[in-house]
Amino acid sequence: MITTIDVLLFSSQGLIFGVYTEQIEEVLTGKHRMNSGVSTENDMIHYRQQKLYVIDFSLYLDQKRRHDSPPGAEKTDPNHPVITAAVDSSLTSKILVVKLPQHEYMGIHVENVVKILSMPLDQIRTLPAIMETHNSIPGLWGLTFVDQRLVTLLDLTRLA
Amino acid sequence: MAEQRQAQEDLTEILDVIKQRKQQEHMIEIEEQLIQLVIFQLADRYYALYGNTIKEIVTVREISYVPGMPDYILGVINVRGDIESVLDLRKFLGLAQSPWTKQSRILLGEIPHIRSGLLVDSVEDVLEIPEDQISISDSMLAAEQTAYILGETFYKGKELILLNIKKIFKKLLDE
Repeated sequence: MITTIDVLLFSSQGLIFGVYTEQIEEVLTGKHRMNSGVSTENDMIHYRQQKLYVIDFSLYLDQKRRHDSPPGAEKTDPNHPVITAAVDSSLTSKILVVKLPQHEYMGIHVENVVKILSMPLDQIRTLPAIMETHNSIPGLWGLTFVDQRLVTLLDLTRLA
Repeated sequence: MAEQRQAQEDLTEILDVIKQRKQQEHMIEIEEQLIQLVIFQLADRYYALYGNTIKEIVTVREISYVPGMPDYILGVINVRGDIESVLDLRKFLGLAQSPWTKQSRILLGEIPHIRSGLLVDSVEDVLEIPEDQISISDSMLAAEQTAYILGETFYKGKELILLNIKKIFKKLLDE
């Protein structure tokens, strides 16, 4: 019997990420963030009579990328130029409302939701040893290919 | 008398066999130990790794970027369903940067418990040479490289640096 997990795929900076659907309470349109009147890297929106802390995932990735460059090293890779732009709230962007322990929520602002699918566990690989040592994104737990594109699997509850 | 002659002939034959065996043993003793090298280029210099540490040589089709990694880890490739990391050997050794080309190749290096792809400018040759042709390196190389050098020899009249893949991988795991 092949065990599967339900995964929601989203895009950011041209990359595809996968998260457990059971961790997602709701998907809001990105406009919710724009309506809150703020556009900083991390901010708050109103959600169910509460304030919801929102992480701009594009800026989060950018911050991680810059943080990783050792002192004196080239800051740009000729094959992967650094993208420094926040998620555009006016387009197709979405806010993933993530369920945290103790009935708390966190928002992750992403460029778009690509699709939801059942993914066979035997198609998922853990990070290669060298990457496991150097990974600076908490919650990055696996990699797989869907339609010949790499999907980076995240546990969003460990992201913050 | 005939028996004595026969015994003498037998003895001579036995001595010949012993002599032949000794000669063979002597030949084995002086036989050159050959090592296999995978020779490649990085920034117009020749480098090599031991052939028994290279599982496969693959062309560079697409390296999928993985976020949150140091910039010398370029990403991953899909090799028949296996996901392999790819290390930019130029960047790791502190050499000048250059985008990959049609000649670029990924060497799939493997030692016990660890495996990774190594991006190189081109693969030149896979050949066997006598081990005693490898000498201790006295190259004037940057400090980033000397820690990973096993020795040197010559290839097509130019210096060839033999790298130690175990030390490269160990450094990556220890950091």
